[in-house]
Amino acid sequence: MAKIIPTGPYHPILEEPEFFKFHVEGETITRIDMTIGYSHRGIELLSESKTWDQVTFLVERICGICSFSHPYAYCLAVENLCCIEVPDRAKYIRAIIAELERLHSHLLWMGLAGHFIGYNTVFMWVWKYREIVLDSLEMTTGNRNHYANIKPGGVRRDFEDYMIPQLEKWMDELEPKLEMLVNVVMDDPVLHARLKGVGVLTYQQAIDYCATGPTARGSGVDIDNRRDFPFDAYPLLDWDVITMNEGDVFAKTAVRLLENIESLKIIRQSLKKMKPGPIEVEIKEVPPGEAIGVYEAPRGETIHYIRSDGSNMPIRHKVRAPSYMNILTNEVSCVGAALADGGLITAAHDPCYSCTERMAAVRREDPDNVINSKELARLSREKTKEIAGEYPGNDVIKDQEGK
Amino acid sequence: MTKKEILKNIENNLGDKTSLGQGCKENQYFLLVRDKRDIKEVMRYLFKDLGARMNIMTGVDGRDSVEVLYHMSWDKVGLMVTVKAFAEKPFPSIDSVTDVIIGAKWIEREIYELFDVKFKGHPELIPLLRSDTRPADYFPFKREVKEKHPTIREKEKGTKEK
Repeated sequence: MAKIIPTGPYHPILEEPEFFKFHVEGETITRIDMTIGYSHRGIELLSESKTWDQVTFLVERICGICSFSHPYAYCLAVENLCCIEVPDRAKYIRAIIAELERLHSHLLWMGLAGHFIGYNTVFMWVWKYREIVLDSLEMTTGNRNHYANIKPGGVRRDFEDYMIPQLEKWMDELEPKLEMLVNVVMDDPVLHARLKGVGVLTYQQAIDYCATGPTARGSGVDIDNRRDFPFDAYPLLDWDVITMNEGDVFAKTAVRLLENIESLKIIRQSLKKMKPGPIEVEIKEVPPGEAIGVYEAPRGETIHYIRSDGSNMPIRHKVRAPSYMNILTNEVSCVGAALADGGLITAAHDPCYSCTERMAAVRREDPDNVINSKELARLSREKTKEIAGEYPGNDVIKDQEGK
Repeated sequence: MTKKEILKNIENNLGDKTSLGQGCKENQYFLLVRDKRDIKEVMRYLFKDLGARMNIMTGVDGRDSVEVLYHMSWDKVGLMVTVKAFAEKPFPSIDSVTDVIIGAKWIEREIYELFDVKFKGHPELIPLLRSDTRPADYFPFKREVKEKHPTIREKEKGTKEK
């Protein structure tokens, strides 16, 4: 008989809010129901009340890890609408920061993946190497995250002369470490035993569910917006798109690891090709019309659709983050797996719930009724009691309340 | 198939139901579906026969109808086509495409949640993100709701204009 194992409202291994119901027969998952919506913040609606320049800062806050990807896609959309091309130096600066962000995102996930499967050595090593990337971002943009460096028409901050040799030095330091990491993961029998054949997403399923990024590339779907919809510096550089055919957790991991090496290639070439020059073109007005900006974020394709009526604000701004499509693939990749693998499979496509739930209803029926922290704590306790009541035998929370 | 062949196929096979136009970039096109009842057939042709990928759907609220946009792309040739259909008010509805494209499940729920567009044939048309405590007839992106419950920003903007 099928039983339901409720998992949430936090992901079993990622610290992100979601709610899964695993339907199991014995140890095997037969179905998964997903409920999301715990971290939405009303970004899309808020965007309609910001000027074109302010929206860049707003979309940067959709996600802490993709904090260059969202503004990049948005700026591409505005530039497409205005039919402008950014100067060469800005193109290369954008490419360098975008690829540094990809490195930091992939390394972050890699470390967490090691931690998930009880391989804490990987976690510590990888996060140590990630510091070099974060230092590079801090040096070039002033921040470890939320770089605030991109704007429609170019970039806000130029590279100083000392930054280029320093970045080259850091990339030289990073390369042998990333290569070592690739070799370790590709040859490690423990990782092979744990990750191969787990949570398989077939080629056809990836197509049907419109999966993107490393999730799709791990299943043999050869897509990458940096190559398919060439923009800025990417068509001027030499790099490869990594794909694997297995579709399991190992393939998704391997794609990310090998992409790190490609990102290094892009950064090195951009540093070499960058010439002194202007870093922005001025946008005087945004014409009426609609346009789409697509960018390949570390997790997959990010799309921003904007519509303008010729005023200084967008009248519609739609944001689609990669996790939106990838989380849905859990429906098929979890089926048939052991319950113990459920957490790993649902984390394998590096889901980001903040990205997924960017939209929300922020209108209040009663604007004066603002909830303060004490009231919020009381509501939360009430909700916890309510949930505890739903699952008989769960007396722990009730006991704590009694004490 | 090349980009030209795909566009030619669309014009030849869907020419009587749709009209094709170019966007502001050379690889972005718009395909207007004249009658919303044809949307499923159009999407089936693009997704199954021409091998497109669905990026996402967008809803845009208008005065008389809700525009439903389907962003489709052909990655190998670098082509992006936005299919446009109109769901007329006061009770906007359109056929669901979930039996053709499974990936459209969540976004149809989201558009229903925001714009009150009923997707006919969707297996589970319930709001995706909002809390259960919200009233069932509360659709935040609808023009009527926006006018009734303005945000603080919109209120400020309104007073300045006056």
